[in-house]
Amino acid sequence: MIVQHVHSGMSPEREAALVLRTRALAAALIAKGVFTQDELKAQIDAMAKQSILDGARLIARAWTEEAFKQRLLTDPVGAAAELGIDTSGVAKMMVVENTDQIHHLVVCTLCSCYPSFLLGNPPDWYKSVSYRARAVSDPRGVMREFGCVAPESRQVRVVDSTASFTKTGPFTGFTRPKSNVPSAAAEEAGSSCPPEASSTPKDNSAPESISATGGIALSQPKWR
Amino acid sequence: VSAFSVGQRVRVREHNPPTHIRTPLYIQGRVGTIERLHGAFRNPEDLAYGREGLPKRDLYLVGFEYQTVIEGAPATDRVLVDIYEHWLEPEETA
Repeated sequence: MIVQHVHSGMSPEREAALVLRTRALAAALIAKGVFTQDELKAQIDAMAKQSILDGARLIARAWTEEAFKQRLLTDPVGAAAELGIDTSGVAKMMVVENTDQIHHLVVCTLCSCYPSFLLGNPPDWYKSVSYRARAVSDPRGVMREFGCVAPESRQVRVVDSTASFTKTGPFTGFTRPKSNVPSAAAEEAGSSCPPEASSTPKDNSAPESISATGGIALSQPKWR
Repeated sequence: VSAFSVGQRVRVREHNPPTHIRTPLYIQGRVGTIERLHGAFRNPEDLAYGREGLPKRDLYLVGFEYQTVIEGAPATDRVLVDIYEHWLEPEETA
């Protein structure tokens, strides 16, 4: 099933129609006994409590405590639970670390799998068809639009989490702040791809909207 | 015992049925390397139809050189995709 979750730029009429349809669907499922009104409300409340701040706490702790960072890399769910984050229902997760040699870009090309328990609702651009296609066809171009220019010597690894296995979207922001980086090489790497640029942008603007105004030329990828 | 080991070269099967699948078309037919075994999970291609998704299937992280996907991509770059065991076969049998 292909579900498109692109809401940005939607007309009020279209949005109103979707709200009506959602309510009708919920009413039908409740009438059929699939779930109750209370269960629906509890689920919505639980989702509303999830926040990107939990993910940020996790990263900040890893920046300042090496032992915690190692636990985060080897047992991410356990590390999250350690900070009091609700990990119920989360079986397994993988955390990737950016270094001066490797930069990760996480995408779910088939839908929009996202570690919501750590990061809350994914931003609209993460679910957009254009991000999902371009993260694979032109990863360095997409990163550039987010202000992250990886030198050619640095390996870019695109991680496509297609199979319900929780990946660590914006943990691609797992770059240590410059002040904590011990080596000169890493210091230099920081300047070309600042940690703040590799974390999730705070607004909901999609990468392509930035390119439209910024005039970044995009080359057409040649799929093999 | 898992079917594939880390470091092994594997080819992704080419299959595009009208049903729900979790292996993107862009990676089908490509040869990559097993990077990691995530573990065994209920098969989402079966769960999608309200079934049990059993038996559990091994899920691998498979790494591909970017140039096998995009012509002229930087030689350094890689794409890593989660792929279930039933989508993989040893490179040499293909």
